[in-house]
Amino acid sequence: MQLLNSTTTPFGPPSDFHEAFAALYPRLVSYALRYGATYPEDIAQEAFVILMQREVPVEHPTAFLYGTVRTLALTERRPMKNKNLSLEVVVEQGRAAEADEQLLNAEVRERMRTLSPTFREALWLFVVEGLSIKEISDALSIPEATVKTRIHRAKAQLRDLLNPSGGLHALA
Amino acid sequence: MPWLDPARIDESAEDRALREELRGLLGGPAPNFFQTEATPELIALADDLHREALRRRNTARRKPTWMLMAAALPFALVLTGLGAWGIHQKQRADVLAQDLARQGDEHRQQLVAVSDQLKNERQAKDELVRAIQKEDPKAFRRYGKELVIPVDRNTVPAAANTQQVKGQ
Repeated sequence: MQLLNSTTTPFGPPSDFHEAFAALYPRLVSYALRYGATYPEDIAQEAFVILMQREVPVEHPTAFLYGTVRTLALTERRPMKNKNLSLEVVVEQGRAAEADEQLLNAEVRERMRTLSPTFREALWLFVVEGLSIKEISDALSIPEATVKTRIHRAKAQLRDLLNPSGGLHALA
Repeated sequence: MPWLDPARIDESAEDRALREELRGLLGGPAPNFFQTEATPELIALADDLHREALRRRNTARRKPTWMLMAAALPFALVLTGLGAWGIHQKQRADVLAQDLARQGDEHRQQLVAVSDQLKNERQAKDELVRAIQKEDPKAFRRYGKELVIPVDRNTVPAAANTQQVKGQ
């Protein structure tokens, strides 16, 4: 297995790392904000440090970053480790709306808000963050089939939202 | 973008079409992914984080081996003790089994010896009976096959204070 030395990064040479950092860092800050992190910048930076601290490279560094940010943000919000908070509670109590406002317009925000949190999370990573199914699977630690199911159900919910009477939208 | 994840570069056309469809359903314009400019501040921050990661990698304390060994020592002692006790019990069981087998062999040998001796005694008795039958057939018929040893009356002392009830 190839080990990372001090000159290479998980994204390749330093120039590629700079490009990746500039692209991903604001998004990771926004992603941490969605989970109600008090210090989203610290969490995003810590995720980068954790990624580059590894001697053994990860298969999908972007997915690793999103997964680490999610874990760190949720951990920060859990005062007791044995207290299980549902995703609904965490996201709703977080600053997701504030994060959404940074990236999405009002129409998209409103439609996103109608989705259930589980589906919204997968949809957000797939459409807004642009992650692949495989990367979402790694970031959320769930099977790829589950990711696809959630995305398709989110799509169905969006279709129902746009076409509440059922069928007219398709006919049109 | 060479740093981009291969999982996204090799994404299937079906997934791309699904993303576009969902983007259309959401109604927003297509976001410009990864178009952020690498400003000097971001590059400096990235370099700082890279240095911090290298510092942590080089200074991270490895899990000390002696602590792991110390934690595992009680279990190792217990396992060693149980193993030694088990081996000792096994050896005792083997010795007892060998003793039992040896005693069984001895008993079988004694049984064979006693059987041979009994056989010899029976042969001697039969030979004696045949000799008596040949010597005194009349007495043999009277007493049957019981062994009767003839007595020389002259050698037997007369019993005192006795009365003979029937002449011979």
